[in-house]
Amino acid sequence: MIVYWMIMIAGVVVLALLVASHHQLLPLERNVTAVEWKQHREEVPEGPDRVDVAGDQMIIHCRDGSQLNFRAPGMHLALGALTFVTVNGRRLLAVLDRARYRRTYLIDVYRAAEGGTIWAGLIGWWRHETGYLLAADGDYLIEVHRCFGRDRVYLLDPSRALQGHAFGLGITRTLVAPTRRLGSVALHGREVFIAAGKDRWRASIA
Amino acid sequence: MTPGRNKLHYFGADEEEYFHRVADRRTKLLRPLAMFFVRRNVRADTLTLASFLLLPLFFFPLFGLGYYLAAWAVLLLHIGLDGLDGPIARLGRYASDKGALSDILNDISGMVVVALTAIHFGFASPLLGGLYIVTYIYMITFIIARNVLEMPYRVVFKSKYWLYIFLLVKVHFHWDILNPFLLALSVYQTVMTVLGFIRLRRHLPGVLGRGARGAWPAADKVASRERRRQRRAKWRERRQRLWESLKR
Repeated sequence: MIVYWMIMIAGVVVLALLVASHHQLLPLERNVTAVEWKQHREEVPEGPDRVDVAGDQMIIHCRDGSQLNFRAPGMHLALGALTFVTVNGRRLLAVLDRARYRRTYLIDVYRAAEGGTIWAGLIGWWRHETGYLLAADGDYLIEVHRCFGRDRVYLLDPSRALQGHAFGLGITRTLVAPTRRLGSVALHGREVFIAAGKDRWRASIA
Repeated sequence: MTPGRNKLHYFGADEEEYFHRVADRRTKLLRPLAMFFVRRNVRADTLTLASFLLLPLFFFPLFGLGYYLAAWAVLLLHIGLDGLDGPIARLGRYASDKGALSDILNDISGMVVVALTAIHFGFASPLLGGLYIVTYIYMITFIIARNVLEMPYRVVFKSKYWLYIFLLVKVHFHWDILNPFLLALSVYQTVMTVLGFIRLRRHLPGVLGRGARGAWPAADKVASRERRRQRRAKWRERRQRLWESLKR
């Protein structure tokens, strides 16, 4: 009798672990592409606009030198998780929030600055679950996800992800990172730049 | 066969289109539930893995503890999750042969765990249960091999769900339909395996190795195979004509 109870307890533990970590254990993959990651020594380039975070205050430094400020209450933000992306011809700020809901939000920064909070400029969102880095160039968006083994670099179609509220529906291509954990990511044209500690790689996704 | 469909399945040629139609209908029917998982970025393989773990870790011990109703509920959940992974993969646009392979493994291990549970707790004869498991696995292997080589069986009877039903009948009503069923199905599966084996032997080259001489059947063997094929086609045509004249 005790053996059966022990098997069941083991079952509960295994299922609990599966529920807690299935996104890292079995990451979503579509069109897995084997790109050639080349090591290089250049700094990872920054995006065209700059975003700063001070507490829950976000400061957008526009190209014309002006600044836009708004609050992002309750969000867990990091500098590598903010980027500008063009969706349906509109330039929007993509914000990857690692707080409770684990969502990526697309924000119209002018409306957000008018309203004073990020919610005033909200255009849409999708669930990212394990995402932690963002990069974009034009309408190309990259989301990096933390997975067991090696991180996954996803090329997303933001409009599809927005419609389904799930990054999984927007995946157009999946790249497997050359190392276990990435520190930063940038996108210039069709070139992906990634860095982990002192190591830097680049790959072409054309 | 519709072009682009995967070959990793274990249906016969006559059933394949029907089962694909059923799968498409199931996708439509389960769409709201499947979308719940797709929107939460849950991969179909996660559900397959959960379904796979349920039987050895919950169904078997619940049976041992005598909580039969809970055990049947777990079995139903296993079947439900197994049926849901396909629609999730299709709606999430990442259905692939990798997922199909996991699904097949889950299907077979489900049957194996239930059959072993029946044997272990004395509901099925160890000899008949063992025979059933072995012949079932052989049969599935040959079905998949033949589907991959594009020479499928015409019709295949898969008895997994009947095993579950007859076990339930034996546990709750004490009618022993289970053991005769295991015997009959073992015979059927053995016949299907032997037929599959003979057909595959005929199809495969005689000597393995890429550069080996005589790797392909000799000309006289090919000619006799062709004659056999033509003879069979003629018989089939005659049968068809006879059937049509009888119908008239």
